[in-house]
Amino acid sequence: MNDIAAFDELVRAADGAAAGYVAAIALPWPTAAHAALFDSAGETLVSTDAIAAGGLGAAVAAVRRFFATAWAPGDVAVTNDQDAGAATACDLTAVTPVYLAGDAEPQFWAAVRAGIPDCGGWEIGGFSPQAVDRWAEGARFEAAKLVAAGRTRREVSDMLMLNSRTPKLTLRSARALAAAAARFAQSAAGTVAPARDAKLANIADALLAPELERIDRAMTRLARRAGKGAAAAKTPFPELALDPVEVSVVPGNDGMTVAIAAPAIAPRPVNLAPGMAMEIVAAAVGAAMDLGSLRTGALRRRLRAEMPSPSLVSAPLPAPVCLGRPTTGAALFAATIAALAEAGIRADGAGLWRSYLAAQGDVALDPATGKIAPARAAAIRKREAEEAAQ
Amino acid sequence: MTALSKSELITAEIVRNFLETACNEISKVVENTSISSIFSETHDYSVGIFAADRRGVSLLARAQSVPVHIFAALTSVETVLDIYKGDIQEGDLFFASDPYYGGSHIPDWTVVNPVFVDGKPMFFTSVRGHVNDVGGCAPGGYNTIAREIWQEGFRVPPVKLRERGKPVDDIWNLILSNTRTKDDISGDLNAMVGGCVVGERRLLALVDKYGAETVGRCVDYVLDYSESRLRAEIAKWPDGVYRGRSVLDHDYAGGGEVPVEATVTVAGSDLTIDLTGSHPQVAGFVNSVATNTISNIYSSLVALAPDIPVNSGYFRPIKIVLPPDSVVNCNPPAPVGHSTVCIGSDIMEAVMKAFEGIAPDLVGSANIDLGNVRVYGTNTRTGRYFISSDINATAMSAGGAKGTDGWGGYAAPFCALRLPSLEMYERQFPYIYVQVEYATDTAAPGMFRGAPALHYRRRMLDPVRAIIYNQGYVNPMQGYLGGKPGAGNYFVLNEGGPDEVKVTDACYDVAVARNGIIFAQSGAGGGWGSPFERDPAKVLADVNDGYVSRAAAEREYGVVIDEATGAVDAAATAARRAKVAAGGAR
Repeated sequence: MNDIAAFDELVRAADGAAAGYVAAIALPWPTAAHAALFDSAGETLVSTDAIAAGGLGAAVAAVRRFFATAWAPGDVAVTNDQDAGAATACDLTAVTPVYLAGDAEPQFWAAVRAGIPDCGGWEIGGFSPQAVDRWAEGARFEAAKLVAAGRTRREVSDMLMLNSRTPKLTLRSARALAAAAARFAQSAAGTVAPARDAKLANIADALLAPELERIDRAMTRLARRAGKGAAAAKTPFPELALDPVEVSVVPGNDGMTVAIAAPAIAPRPVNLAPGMAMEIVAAAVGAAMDLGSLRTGALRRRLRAEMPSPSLVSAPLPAPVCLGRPTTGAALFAATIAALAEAGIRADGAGLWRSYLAAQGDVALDPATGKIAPARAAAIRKREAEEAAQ
Repeated sequence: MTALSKSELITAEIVRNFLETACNEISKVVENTSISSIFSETHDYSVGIFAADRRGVSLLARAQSVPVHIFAALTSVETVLDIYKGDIQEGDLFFASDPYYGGSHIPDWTVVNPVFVDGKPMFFTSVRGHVNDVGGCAPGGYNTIAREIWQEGFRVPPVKLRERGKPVDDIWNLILSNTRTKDDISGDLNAMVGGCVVGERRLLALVDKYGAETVGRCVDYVLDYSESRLRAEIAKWPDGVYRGRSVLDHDYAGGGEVPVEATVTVAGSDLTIDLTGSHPQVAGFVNSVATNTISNIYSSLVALAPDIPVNSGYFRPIKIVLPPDSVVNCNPPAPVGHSTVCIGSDIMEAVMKAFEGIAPDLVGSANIDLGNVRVYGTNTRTGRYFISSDINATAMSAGGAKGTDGWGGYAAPFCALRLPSLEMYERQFPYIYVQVEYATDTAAPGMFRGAPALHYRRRMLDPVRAIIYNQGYVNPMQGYLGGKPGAGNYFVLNEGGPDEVKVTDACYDVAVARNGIIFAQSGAGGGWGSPFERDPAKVLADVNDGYVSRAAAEREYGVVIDEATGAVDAAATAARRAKVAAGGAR
């Protein structure tokens, strides 16, 4: 099998994992799921979209760090840690090791992420404008094996259920995520197995090469045409006057440097968790440069983001972050688009932002309250009641 | 009653004392190895040894600790056994905290350690402790504006912390990463586990010495003995139906007062306690799950017959009836965070009031109308985030009882809670105490008066935030047999500053500036017996100590003190008391 064929198969497997989850959970509102496959060095081999791959990679790294060598075939760990790629406590990621036949150690890692309906905290749905720290936003599942050697663990299932206002739906979502990750892993193992005689480390390079070339061409054109740009935008949040987020972009032949200046961590949940700023910058750059169809970690390789940490755009635990993406994230996205415009790339920032948010799964946030929209909350409760009645 | 030979009777007493000693040793291990002051200073944890047989789970012995914890732990052990039926292995260690899974409120964590003898779990050592934070919306676990349990903290069903001797790392981490002070609470959880393990060693040594069969028979006897002793006590009480009532000031949700009604029926050697008539489930966080309610009832009862060994045999003569959907038997997802004490101690008080007519010489203040302030923020001295539970500000002083005035410590049902060292608190947290003293004319009058209320003033050394939850301002702790109620609790935040506010019910996440003063009046229990029957010499001593003013001595006790000599004017006192006794104005 050649690299292109393998890549296409892996793309289909990733898309299939995400679509399989969406079909399995069958929610009556728009649902998004993301999936990605990583090599043992953490490089993204393939993903449903290049933007979500960063957060998924952080989740994989976090659970691998926690469990170290304590993995077995059939294990599926879950995490909703915002310091590991989740935007809110309701972003649950399932991670599973991919073993090639005959290997004792996993060579690859499959991850699938989707929004679960609720994970405790102040409000249903994961958006809690009252939160003053991370714990107030919802239960924290840093790293736990939902499935161990193929068997669902009652303890972790019960904890997911107990800490959710929608226990049935949450458990069903978590199980569906785990199943999607397991299927993805199985499919990926089958695809990659023929290449096992080659040096596995080269697979990433082979798969990323076409996308890297495409990005390099675009960056080089941009660098020749205009050069750098800078812009700023303010975090929109009632009764919170924060200094603007400032972004400057400097494209070059070897990629783009994005420098971000931002105020200190805010006392309200408008902060961006570590890694989220990079995702939003990548989303803005990718969309503005028409690189949105990328399926590997190539864009991340070519983006260098510099930002203060801890700060509004990189706020680790215990900072509250659940509204970070739709508030400070919007400002960062707008500033990045404006800076790119100054650098010579004009794009419909508002439209691209809407598309990006939709790709994350139509969050149904009510901007007036900072909570999930009442209609969505009602729909979630209705669906839970139906689930419980079954 | 389990039949034992004479020599076995001696062994049974040795076994009983051994079990209690082992509990006390477990307790010491926890005290000496825990990190948080709520454990090491305040002693807000309890210890028990349990066993399970065909009759179910039994409490065999407990340490001198907080009864309301350990009686509730009975249900936690039952729940663990139920969930893990057939899957309890040597080397397993269990944990649970969810109120609707055999718990009481989320901060009360329970560790259950099976002790295997001949391949079967013969005993369970258990520590139940109140940890300082459990995640959730409010630092410190008391969310005064919670309307559902998900806003109160991370809920943990029965889980294995250790499986066949191997730690279950992700479960440990899930529990601890859902606390704001993970490092400290990690030490506390390890202290609980360590205590259980030490207890296991002692129990194995006991079985090694006497043999499992003998120990088992002795345990059966000890349980039967307590049952027979309590039955004998109940049989002395007059048959009849007795009623008591206690009222919580508010439900934290605008729902008004929350009464608890207790009906106690004595029939021969049986006792029925029925809380029918108590307030329906409320919106705020004072609802009590059945486990917590039963535990509070038990706590009240053990104070009534203190010389009987406390174990599950003690509870056999007691039947409890709880109304469904009520504040004393609530349903999920009702918030329950404050219930262990409020409504818990109101449950105790209602039961105790019913006993006024049953055992008047034994009743006394059973309540601590908890007022507390959680202060949290960053301690600039250490650079660390902190959460401080100012247990000092709790209404901890006891009421009077026959033969004794109220003392400056917790009422009997909370006897093992300790007043922490102020200096230790000052060392750990960014504040200093500028006043701690009894307040004049706050002691509940009675033949045996309550302790005076305490006044605390603390100055903050860093800007902090505070959550206050307070009860007992409108309905302070009641008196008994004609004794007057105790003084109520209240707080003043930012005392003397432009943003000073008196808090009699609750406030949530309020800023207190550096150098801001937090004042607390911590109330006390009620008096016992008519104050007009108090020994005038004792009243004079109270006046001389500054507990009672001369005016109050005359008004409340009918004791007239000669201004010139400072002595009791016996004639004037007799006249005044006679006038009052005859129905004259006080």
